Amino acid sequence: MSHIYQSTGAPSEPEDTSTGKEHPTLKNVQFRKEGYRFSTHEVDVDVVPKEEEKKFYEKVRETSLL
Amino acid sequence: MYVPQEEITRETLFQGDVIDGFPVFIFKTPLTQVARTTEGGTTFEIQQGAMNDSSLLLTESKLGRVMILSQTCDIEHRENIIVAPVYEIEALKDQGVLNTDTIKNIKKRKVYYWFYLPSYGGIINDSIADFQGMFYLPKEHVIQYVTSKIVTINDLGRHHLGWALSNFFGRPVDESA
Repeated sequence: MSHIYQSTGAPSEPEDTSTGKEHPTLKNVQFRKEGYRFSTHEVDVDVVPKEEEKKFYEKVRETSLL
Repeated sequence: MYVPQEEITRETLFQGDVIDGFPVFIFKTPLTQVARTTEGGTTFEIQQGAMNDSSLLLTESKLGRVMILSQTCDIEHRENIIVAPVYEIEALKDQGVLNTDTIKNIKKRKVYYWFYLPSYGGIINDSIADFQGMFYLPKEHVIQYVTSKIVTINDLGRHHLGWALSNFFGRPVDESA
């Protein structure tokens, strides 16, 4: 049985070559042996104004974005 | 972010592949159910009232782009594949949906449910994969589109995607930050 696995090796502060800037969240993240801790409120959930997000999904339902 | 075009394999699907011409479901609200009006026929009519276990739902579908979210290993071993619809940022800008600040934040990967896909070689324009719109289809259907993939993300891109998905479904804490 063959297996195709995810990419190998631990990420080490990769640089996002698409934007020329370091990835803001991947930077310094360590894939520690003891694993991640998880929280429920560690991201800014309101980066996108509510009205913009609402408009986005209205357009999705109108199928005008595809 | 992407594997060079000459190195793309169109025999296997990988996590992060973007596929063109794929059916994307659009759920109108409120959800509408339909009922057969002729036995064994194809005539349907809108049905009002509460849904039951055997309700048929009316769902619109349009061909668009999707990104494979299932892990590559799961694509091989599981029966369903999860995808997310992909939308071009320029269209969102043209239709006045997103403002400049939001687009900047998307490109900085600060919007954890819209995964930024940078433009690449005239094959894909700046786009987002919408995690909130993800859905699944049986693998036997999805693999029919293997030759329709337009880009494959490389290891770095997959790290970005893995991190984005973990942020979407959980909230990993960066203790060193």
